[in-house]
Amino acid sequence: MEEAHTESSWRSYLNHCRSMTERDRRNARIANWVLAAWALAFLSATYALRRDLIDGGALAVTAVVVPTALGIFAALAFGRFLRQADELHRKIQLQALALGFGAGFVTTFTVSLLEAAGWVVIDTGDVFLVMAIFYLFGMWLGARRYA
Amino acid sequence: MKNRLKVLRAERDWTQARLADELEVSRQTVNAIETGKYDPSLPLAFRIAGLFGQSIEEIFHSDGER
Repeated sequence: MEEAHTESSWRSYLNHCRSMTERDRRNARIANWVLAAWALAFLSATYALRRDLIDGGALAVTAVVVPTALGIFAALAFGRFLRQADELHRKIQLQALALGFGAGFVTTFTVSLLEAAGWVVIDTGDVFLVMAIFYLFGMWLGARRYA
Repeated sequence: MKNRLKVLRAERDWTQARLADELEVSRQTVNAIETGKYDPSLPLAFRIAGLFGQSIEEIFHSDGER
């Protein structure tokens, strides 16, 4: 029998992903594909703009508009996933998002103090990395807590 | 909060996966409710009660109650 699970570590996280309902899996798949498309468009646009492969005009506008539009679609797709998600999965996601946001908030203001003191200079992208790491940690934590 | 979900499911010889399908939730949710790690929302509690033909109070009760 599969009952009374008390797994820990990554096994509980993998089981959490596997136990998603078909609707959640479909919505997550859509959100992930749009997110991947956004990442590809963003990296391509950044590369092209920084290397001066695009010299203004309609192409430059396209390089800005396409990743932005895909980013909005990704946010909407993730919002839909959250709205329709199984209630425990939604709770785990929201707790992970809160952890990621909190970590980003604290990091941003701590870094601004450290920069004012002249001790460190950190790129804005590093703050998003901290948010992503804490979000993933929150997902792992939630999956383990409710396993 | 305690509940009799596991007993009710066992009486019907259902797996957690079968019950999850009936309730349209994940198997992890069923497991978490049965082990008392997660308290279901009111709409889900009503769905559980409706599925087993009992009232919410007959299935769920606070830790202090018998």
